Amino acid sequence: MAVKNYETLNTNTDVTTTRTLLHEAIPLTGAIVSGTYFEDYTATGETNIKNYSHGMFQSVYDYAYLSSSSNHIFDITMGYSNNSPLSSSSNEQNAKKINIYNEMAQTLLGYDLTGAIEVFENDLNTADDSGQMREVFFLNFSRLLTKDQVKKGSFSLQIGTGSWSDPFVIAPVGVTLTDLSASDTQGTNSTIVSGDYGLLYHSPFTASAVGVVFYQAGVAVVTASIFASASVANASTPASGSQDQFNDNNGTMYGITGSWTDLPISSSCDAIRRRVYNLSYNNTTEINSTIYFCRASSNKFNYSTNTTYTTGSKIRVKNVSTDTPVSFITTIGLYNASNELMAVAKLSEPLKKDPSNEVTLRVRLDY
Amino acid sequence: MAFLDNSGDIILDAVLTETGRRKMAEGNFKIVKFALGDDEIDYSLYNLNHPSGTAYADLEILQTPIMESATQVGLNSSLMTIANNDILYMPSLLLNEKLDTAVKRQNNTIYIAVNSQTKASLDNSSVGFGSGYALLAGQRGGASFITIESCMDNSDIPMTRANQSTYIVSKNMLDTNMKVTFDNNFITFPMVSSGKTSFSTGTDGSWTGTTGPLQSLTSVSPAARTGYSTAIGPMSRANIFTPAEGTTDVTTFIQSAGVVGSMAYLNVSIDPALTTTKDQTASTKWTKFGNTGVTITGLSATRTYSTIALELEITTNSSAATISIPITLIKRDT
Repeated sequence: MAVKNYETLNTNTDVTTTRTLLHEAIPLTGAIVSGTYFEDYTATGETNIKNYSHGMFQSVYDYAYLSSSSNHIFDITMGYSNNSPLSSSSNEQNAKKINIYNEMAQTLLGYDLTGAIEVFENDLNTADDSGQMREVFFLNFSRLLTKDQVKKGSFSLQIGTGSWSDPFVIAPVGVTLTDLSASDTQGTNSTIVSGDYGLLYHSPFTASAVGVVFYQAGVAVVTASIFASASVANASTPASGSQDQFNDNNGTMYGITGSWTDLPISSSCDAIRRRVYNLSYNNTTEINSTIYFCRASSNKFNYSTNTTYTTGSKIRVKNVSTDTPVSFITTIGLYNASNELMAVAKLSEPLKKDPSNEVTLRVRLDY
Repeated sequence: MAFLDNSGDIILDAVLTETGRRKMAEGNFKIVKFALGDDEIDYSLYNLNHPSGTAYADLEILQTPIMESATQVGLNSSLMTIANNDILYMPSLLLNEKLDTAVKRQNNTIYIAVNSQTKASLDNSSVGFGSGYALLAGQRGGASFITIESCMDNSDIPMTRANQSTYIVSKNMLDTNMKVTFDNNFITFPMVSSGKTSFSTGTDGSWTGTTGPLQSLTSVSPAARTGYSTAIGPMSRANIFTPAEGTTDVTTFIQSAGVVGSMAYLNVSIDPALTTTKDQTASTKWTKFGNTGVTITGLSATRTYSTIALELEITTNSSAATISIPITLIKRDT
């Protein structure tokens, strides 16, 4: 056959694979989380908050969730361990609060040597049972935003820990929990079942951590004790004291302990949302790419089957036979062995090809 | 498809095609080769006589805006590799409408009657086109067929055996087979003349060719376009030459202005559901994809027809010449 339209790719020299991590900044202001979307047809009046009949968590959207243009941002819930001092059968939704805690703990941390569900801790060692966080709230971020994982060292949650009437009284605005000590090379625990986690510290302080963030799972776990008083408390100290005025339930003030024990999960979630001032992190998308080097050497692809290439069977780009043949590349087609077109790539402008030049076109397919 | 931003560096915009996605879902995605294309290029803009010099010949072409990649648009016009850089002429594919055995177009299309009743109506000289302007789908011999010429359509290359050898055979551009791409919703398979069919002239320049029964190309495979299939059939080397002292002008039955390399006859076999006569219940394909109850220019208005407009795309193996032939399936309604 005189003409040849396909060029075989050498798998050793013309095909390579790469892995790229793509990060996006995800800033979520408190105004999205609460206080912006109000209508009368929901129980709380907030149309971007979806509560469920089971009452075990609530979902936060960036717009009224009944709208097709809304996006699910995260879910929020709370719970405590069955050996928490707050646990009592007389509590509101006591079993559900324990179930939530255990579900999250076994999914994120796994089990200890005895087969018991691990307990969240404010250090990187889950085996020492020190600094246990037995009363926590959870922020489960949507994969829509988190993508493959939260970027280590990028998480920041600015939250008001003051009184109900003035939650952001703590300077500058509430407290800021960050995982600045975590990075790809240090500051995380990677032995747990759900990937790895880093610690959340109150940013200006160097005291014990008050929460953890699970990067691959996209979950932040924060101890309830940050609301125990006007300053950041040690995470291992159980929350107590209704005088802190954590929650206003139909005109009755509850402290963090009262809210955790006497009110349903959704009510505590409402109170936490009201205290979120800013939340931000960078997500990570892992892009695996195959790069095909399409090499058009000097003596190849210099003619065209384009109908306009000839007129009266004479090649248009030549006056005489000794003129150099010329073609223009606009498209690259990638084929399988059966000549089926698998992928197509377009150049942004025509590329001149003649026997005096060689072209290597680098086509990247991302997965 | 929007245009790509061509104001800065050259960028590549790549997407998986529908076929690629399907293969990936099947776990059967493997790329082993590539081709280059130039679908957007109009080579008539290449101006060898540019007033500023030949360096500016490609000025307009290089400014051609390129559209984004699309998942369902393939690579229709590909670049090709020919070892010889001194080629000035490349074969073209022409539709022959001069031979007695070649069907002729009417209304810029080739009518393919789906049944004998319709064919008889079209051939009728009082209510139809007269004979030679329609063919019967599935007919193998004794009729006029779609006739293809692979040729140097240029009078600079007269029809001599020496020219056929110099410009076509020695350049490895003698087409020995062709790929027929067709809409498989209506056409089941193409039919072509065998490789032994003679396309020739005698010493006096008169036509001595044969037609012979067409053979069915039942081995079809999916085409790049969804809903289309392809089949490959032979072409016969032509022996059509202007005699030194002949009395017959070859151009009276050959479309090409120059030497012919190879030729073939072509017909199609269609979906049997389309072959109903006027008194039978017609397939819903006629109403869904075509026009029904219409009168045709050139035919008596006393009779109405159903039509479906299609296209046959022919690409040859050696020269990669292509031609798109408009065809119309036609059925007599009244």
